[in-house]
Amino acid sequence: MKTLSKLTAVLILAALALVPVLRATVLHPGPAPKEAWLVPVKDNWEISGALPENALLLSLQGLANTDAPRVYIEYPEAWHFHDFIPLKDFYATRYGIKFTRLTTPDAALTNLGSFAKGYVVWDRKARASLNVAFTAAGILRAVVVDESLISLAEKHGFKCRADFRGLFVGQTDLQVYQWAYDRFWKDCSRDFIIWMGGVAGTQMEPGVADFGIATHAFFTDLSANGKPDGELAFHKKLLSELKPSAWILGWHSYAKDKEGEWVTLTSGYGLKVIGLNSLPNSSFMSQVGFSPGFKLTNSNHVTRDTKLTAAPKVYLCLVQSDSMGIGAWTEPERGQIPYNWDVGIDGGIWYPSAIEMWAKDKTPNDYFNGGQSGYMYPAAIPEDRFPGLMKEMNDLMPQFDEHVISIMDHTRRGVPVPIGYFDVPKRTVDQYYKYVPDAIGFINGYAAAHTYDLRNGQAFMSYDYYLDENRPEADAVADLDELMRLNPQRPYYLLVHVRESNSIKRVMGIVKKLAEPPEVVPVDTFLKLAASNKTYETHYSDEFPNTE
Amino acid sequence: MKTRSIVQLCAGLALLVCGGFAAPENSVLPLAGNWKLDPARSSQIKPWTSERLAISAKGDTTKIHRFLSWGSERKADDLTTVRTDGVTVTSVPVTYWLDTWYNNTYIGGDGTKRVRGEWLDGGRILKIETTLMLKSQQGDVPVHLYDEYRLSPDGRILTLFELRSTRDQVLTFVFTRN
Repeated sequence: MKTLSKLTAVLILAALALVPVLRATVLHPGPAPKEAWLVPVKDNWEISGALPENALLLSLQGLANTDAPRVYIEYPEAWHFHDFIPLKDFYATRYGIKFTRLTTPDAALTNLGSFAKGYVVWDRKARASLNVAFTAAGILRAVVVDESLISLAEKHGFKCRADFRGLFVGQTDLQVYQWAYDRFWKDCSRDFIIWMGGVAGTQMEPGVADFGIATHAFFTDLSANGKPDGELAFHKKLLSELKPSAWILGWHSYAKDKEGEWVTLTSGYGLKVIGLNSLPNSSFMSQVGFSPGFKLTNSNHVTRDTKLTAAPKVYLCLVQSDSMGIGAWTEPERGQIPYNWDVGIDGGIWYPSAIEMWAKDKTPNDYFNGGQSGYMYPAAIPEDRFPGLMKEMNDLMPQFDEHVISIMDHTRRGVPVPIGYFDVPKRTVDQYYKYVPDAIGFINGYAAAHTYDLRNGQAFMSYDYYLDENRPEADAVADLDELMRLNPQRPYYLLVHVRESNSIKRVMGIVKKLAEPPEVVPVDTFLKLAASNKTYETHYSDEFPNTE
Repeated sequence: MKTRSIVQLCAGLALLVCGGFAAPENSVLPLAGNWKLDPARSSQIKPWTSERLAISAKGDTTKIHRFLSWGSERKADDLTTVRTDGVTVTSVPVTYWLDTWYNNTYIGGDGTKRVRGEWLDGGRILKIETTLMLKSQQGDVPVHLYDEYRLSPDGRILTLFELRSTRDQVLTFVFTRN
């Protein structure tokens, strides 16, 4: 064991001396390549199944895409980001990229091996060692293999750069990541860090590994909630050592903490999250800009200065706020009713081609909302960081023809209140009015909330209803009918968050059955109507301490 | 012990026969005890995943303590204390409206609800009428609730029927003894 550790250390030191000075060109999109490799991965993410082979291919993608978009991974149909599935064909037809398929790891190594300078070995008996291997792969420019794939790597002439077999068995994740920090952190990016969370246990879905490897990022899945002991302190240490402008890619570990706890923590450092751990092909997508001549336009209905007059009726507005990629976009019913889609400005940075694909495919009934750059909870953002984040957002919004700000704050997730934890305090509302004067208006919440305001012609509205995909249709109809009775004045502005797993067909069925037929309107129109006749009461959450 | 139970039972039966408004004590109140919701036979309570009731009585005062939970981290409860003489209106403090999470309605007004209870059908049914203010986007709205807690003949199933003045849907919640 001791000898193995020494050997590992020697290998790592030797390899570190060979670290090239390559730095990725990701997030600086340019023209599309004429050709690219298409590499399928298997629909099995078990440590004892196809994960080792998939991890090898993803690491190869990260290495090959470090300075140009060369490799596109073909994910299975069941992959969470299913709205991205048509993107490959869009690259082919719109951009003219000719894909050549490499169907086996052997073929991938044959054609892409020149981008690697060796291999690192992770240990199937210590799951966290795969994250260390991903970190090492970026720094050492090596492909990631488990024991079973060493012979394949060596067949292609690769030498071992680091071998983690046996090194971490029996250690806590904290010990493992501390070891990785001590060895690699000084060479890791301060612009990006990878939270390789999501599924845990015997699986890992490392869709974003390619980006981390391409950018020399550190990989971890440390907890945000104080358990296991010590992980939170180390978590904070990592966040504190990133640049203020850094991005956190990936997702929290479902086995360690909650989304709200994690994003509250990251927002407390003014940092933005790009989810999920399964985000596919980000090293490729972020390097391919809009096609020549393309300019993103929205299905605008009003401008900041438009004056509308609300009639005495119910206005219903449907928003799918979960980011594009995992929702109902590809359903055939899209376009039949006004539907609003959150397309944060980060989408234009991270996957411009996908945005172009969706934008070209949009109907007049599809409206794109903008919002913060990345996923963050505004109430947790340090006061001195808020103006900069809003400036970044304001600068990019017009480029994407986006004029409505979508806000979600889950800072109070950890607070023991059963209701109302998506409301934001007045100070946060004040900040939006102060720093975002040109937006048409603001929508807030995820579950329903009660933060409402109107200043300077900008309505700040919250979701009055959360449409759960599992709520029986009759109950959803009764809920919405009841809301209309609980809000007897007309106009009544009924903003509904449509959980992305709802089909558009189901939503249309619910709307059709409402006792008082509403007018379904796009969100820009909705906000202007709400600004014209304020039948809602101004309300904020009580001020609350940052739970961080 | 046996003698005491017989006396209590006789006292309870006497109350029922006389159609008195006062509820019997816990030991003979048929509804008393702990109840657990059977979600499969009930209106949906999601996102709550479980619901329990603890019902107790003393004199003509009945207490219904409701416990809701959602996974392991979210829990809420409310306690309704009601006089069951069919006349007295009791003011009960209430913090959260827990019944339709999806629309996030809040408790309005002075943060209380007014309840009046009555035993029907010889003590088999507890009727509770509630008025309260709910706060939604446009402010406070008065709401009336009509609840009947009905016990099955074998005493093992408790069914709550609820009608709300704002909702054209009868809600049905089936509980079994916990």
